[in-house]
Amino acid sequence: MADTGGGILDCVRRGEALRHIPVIDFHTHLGASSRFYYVPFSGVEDVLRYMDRYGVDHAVTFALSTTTDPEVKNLCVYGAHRKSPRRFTPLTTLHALFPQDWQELLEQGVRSGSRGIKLLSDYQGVDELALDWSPAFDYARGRGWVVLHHDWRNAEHLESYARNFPELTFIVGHPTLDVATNRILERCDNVYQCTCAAFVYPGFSCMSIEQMYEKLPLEKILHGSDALDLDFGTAFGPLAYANIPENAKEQILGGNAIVLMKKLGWEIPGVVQT
Amino acid sequence: MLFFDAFFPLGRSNSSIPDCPRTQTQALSVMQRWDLDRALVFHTVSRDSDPEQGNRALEQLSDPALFPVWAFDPAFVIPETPELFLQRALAVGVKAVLINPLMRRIDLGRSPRISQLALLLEQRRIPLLLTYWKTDPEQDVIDWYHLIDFCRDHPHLPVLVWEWRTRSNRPMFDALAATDNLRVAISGLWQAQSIAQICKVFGPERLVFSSGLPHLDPGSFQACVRYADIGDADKRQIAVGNLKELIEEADYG
Repeated sequence: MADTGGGILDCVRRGEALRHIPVIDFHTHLGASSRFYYVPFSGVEDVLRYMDRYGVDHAVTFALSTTTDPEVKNLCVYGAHRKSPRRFTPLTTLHALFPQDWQELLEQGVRSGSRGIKLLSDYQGVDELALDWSPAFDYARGRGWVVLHHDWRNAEHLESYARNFPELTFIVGHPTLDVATNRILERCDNVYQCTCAAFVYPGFSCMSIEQMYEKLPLEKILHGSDALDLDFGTAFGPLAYANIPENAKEQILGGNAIVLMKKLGWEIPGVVQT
Repeated sequence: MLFFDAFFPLGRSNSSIPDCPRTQTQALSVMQRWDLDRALVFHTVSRDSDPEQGNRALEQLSDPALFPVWAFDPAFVIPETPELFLQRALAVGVKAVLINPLMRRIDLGRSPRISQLALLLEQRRIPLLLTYWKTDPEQDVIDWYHLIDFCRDHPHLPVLVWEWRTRSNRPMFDALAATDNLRVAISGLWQAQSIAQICKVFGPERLVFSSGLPHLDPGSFQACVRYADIGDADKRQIAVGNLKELIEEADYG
């Protein structure tokens, strides 16, 4: 990748794509509408142009706010992956209320290039702590999959899954868990933290980017924007302006993700070769 | 590209970032770090609790980059008329007036004092800033259809609105379509490419920059403008131009 002659903040100040470093967004959504809002410019070609403007090389992506039928919502994500496998890695969203559908959805995911599971039980009206995802995680074993959850509710709950399913990689979708005090990232090799929506500190997130850098193992922090739910800028800006070393920003924006993807055996032409 | 923040706070408030500025010196330091060139400045005490107390706390402002905003108390029993309030505000260089309809559960269209104030502001084209903030962060608290009626009642009044998050964007689109004088602060527009969407359909003049302070990371929305799929002139208009024009066009004499 070409050297732009400037750091990440310099690029962001100029509104230039970050072409000098790999940028992997580990928390994105695709879709044209949710129960809350209309999504502007949501077609795959529009999204690719949007990614190019920022220099996002690759997006791990899943359906938008799946409070409804996940099969239909997942199809949109698989379609984007089919059109552009170099740019999109899909995860399969499950609905917490319908365990009877999980196997079929996961099989469909395997056929469609999925590399993991997206969960958001609290949006689906189900108490996460009363749920048992084990059947779904059993299916996912040995596939190099990740499980990204909007809200694991507490570190103990997450840790029990992380220990019972060491072949899976668990991602805390937002900085809403106190993983710093609990030190779960240090204790569990297969647990990672996503930066997604850290800009909403302290109203939603429990850590800013700078606090994440100070308190968490750097190699466990993955960049996530929540686009198309949120704008890429809300993730790029706080990271670019953060008072942390440049190499830490580079690791968070893509370096850590590439190491993880290689570890999981993900082959993504142009992004990750194992 | 530098920015003109339409809703820059001084003071503490619930769910604020640790670095939220309390003094002019702190405000200027925050602005320099996050590329904010100028700001319309209100006090959080004005917005959240006591307008007059907060307004008095802005007396510390002397830097030419900081334009004071006074909050207005619509309580009908207050003896001072809206006219006298405005005279007092203009005498100390106030550039816009702020109302938080949620703190006071006010119906904008039916409050006699707000109606009187809105007429006075409208005659002078002085911006009215509506900050919809409850005690803690809450999304979608603006009644956009109600706001349509208010804007239509005062078609020459520049109405600038702010809320923590405008997640339900469909009513907001309706409000922008149904009015000409409504402007939206971009710090409530968290959805991807909202800026480009609004620019293309309604024009860049309908957006004003806000950093989201004191409740959001102050670096969150500059990139949303800088990377938006719109022309450079439109970006400059949103970053600075719209607010600059509104202040230049207002009659503060």
